[in-house]
Amino acid sequence: MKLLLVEDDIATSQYIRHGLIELGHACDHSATGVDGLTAALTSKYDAIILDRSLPQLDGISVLQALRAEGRKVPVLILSALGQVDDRIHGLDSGADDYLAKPFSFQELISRLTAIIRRAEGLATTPTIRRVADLELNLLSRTAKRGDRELDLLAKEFQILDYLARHAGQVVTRTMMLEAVWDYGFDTGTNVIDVHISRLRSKIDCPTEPPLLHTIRGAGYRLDTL
Amino acid sequence: MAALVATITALTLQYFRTISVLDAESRHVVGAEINSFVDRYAAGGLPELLRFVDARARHDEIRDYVYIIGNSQFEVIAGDLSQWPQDMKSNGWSSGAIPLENSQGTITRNIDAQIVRLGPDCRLLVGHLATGRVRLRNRFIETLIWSIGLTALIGLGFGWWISRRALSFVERASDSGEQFLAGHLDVRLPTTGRGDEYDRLAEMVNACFSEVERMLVSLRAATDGLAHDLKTPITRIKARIELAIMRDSLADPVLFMETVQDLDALLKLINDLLGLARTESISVDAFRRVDLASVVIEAVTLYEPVAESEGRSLNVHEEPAIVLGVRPLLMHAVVNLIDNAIKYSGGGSNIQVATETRDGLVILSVADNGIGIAAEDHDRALARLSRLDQSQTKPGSGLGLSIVAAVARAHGGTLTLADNLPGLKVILELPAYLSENTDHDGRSAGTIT
Repeated sequence: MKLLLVEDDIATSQYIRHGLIELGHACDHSATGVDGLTAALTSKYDAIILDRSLPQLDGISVLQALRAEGRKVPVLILSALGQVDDRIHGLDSGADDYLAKPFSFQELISRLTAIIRRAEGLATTPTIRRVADLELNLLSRTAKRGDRELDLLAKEFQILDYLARHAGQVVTRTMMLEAVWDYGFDTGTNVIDVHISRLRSKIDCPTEPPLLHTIRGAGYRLDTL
Repeated sequence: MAALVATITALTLQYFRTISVLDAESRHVVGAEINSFVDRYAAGGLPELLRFVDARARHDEIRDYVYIIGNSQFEVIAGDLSQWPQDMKSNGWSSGAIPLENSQGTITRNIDAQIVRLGPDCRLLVGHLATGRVRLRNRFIETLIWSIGLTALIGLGFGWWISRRALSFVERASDSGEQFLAGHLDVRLPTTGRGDEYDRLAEMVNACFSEVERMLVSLRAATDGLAHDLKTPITRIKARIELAIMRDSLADPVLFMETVQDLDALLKLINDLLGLARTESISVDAFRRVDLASVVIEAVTLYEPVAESEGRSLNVHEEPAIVLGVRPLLMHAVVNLIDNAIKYSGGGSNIQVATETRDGLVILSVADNGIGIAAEDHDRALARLSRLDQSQTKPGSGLGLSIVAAVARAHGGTLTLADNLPGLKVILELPAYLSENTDHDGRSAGTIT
């Protein structure tokens, strides 16, 4: 991925840049709102990581200026302002996702991948989604693995669909809560884990290769093969 | 001022009315006298008239009426005066001044007289002394001065009394305010019980004082509890790391995992507190039409697997329940209640979530048949950062119920704890959104899915 990071805090920007570069991505950096906007308008990026509190021009203004120019590049906002209404404000201003600080690096990567994927996949809305030997029928809301029909509850199908849409990527618990339940608060208890283990018991039979993996300290991933 | 003007106007009117009555009366009498004179003259001519006048003039007492008979050259033939008054030579009514003699000498008086021509060489003047009128005028001026003086005095006195009342109230209010700001939170303004504007104002000020006191007390309690809850995980992290340094076991992954967990707990606490503060200051502009029943279904589907794995059954009985509010906050409240029920109910195995609309109120209840909370602990349970289980063995920030209470308040509703016999029943009551039309901003209400 070719990414742009607009962040004024030195420690945070080094942390993010090094992490991204280590994973094999390219990451440009701007330390002010004006520089960030200029860079975003002149170069092409897969996604932009935008901090809200910036000198000269704040993140939301940069975002609004970018959207006003008709640029549809996926933007992920990073901010210490992490309440519900802050998130809503950020998304309403044109961001594709919103991550509160402090954040886990895995969460950042997962969400970046997700918004890039979403931007790419916008052209087609398939009726059948295939991942490995899983087949999801988006019209009938049913799924099967190979020839075996899967008996899924409505929410279980939604979870599987979300995992399938991000197959091969790590999806965090928060991402799943937001996508499937539209819920942005921390639940404390392991609600998602229990959903996943139920789903896993239905998808992964002992005789089959497991598709649904738990990535410790990060989230879940559905294999593509 | 108004009283003064009114008094003056009333007196003046009265004066003029009285004057006109008096004048009418005297004219009437004069007219009657003239008639009797006319009769005498008609009966016996001038001699008869003179005899009549003489008889009257013999009386020395001060009379109100003056008679003069004169000839065509205005020379006096008989009557009260030796000379015909200068400026009263034309027929009909006229007024003028005449000299009168009494025990003190000669004085000048005004008369109102009618002059008639009785015969070719005979003129008659009958006049009425305006003494009554003069007396009245003097009396009027006297009364006027007294009234003005008295009214002014009363007015000033009253005004002074009113402004004293107002000033003393303002002074007392300022004093109370100063004392309150200085830290005497129990200061209140006294009310007289009269129910007037000052009492209303005093009650309002007292209500403000009470609210501020409540918030400050709650804040003090919260910061004490908060300091403890923030320091505990930080202390654990510090201890763990210091121990690892001592043991030279810094590479242990368990150290990091546990530290991350503690940091997450800290973060949750901070976010919950921030969220609580934001909720309490939310603006109604953010409100939209929300179907609480659909929120409950979402929350229940989220928690159903967890409930089952804990050996509880989670049941829903939902009826339509439309409110005006912020969907994420309402869901947060419902989730907290369900989470609490699963974590703390203990004992029983049934959790019932219900929504209904009744009498303009939307009622959401989460009831379990577990160990419940004793009635005397209800208030403490709702207080911030309180946990009835002192050992803090279960994860959570201790703010769960206070968040629900704050959400209830922000939506104009209430949160109550009740005994479910057995178990705990938590009841959230919110005003129902009854109109299906546009909301108060004029935008058409949309459903948030």
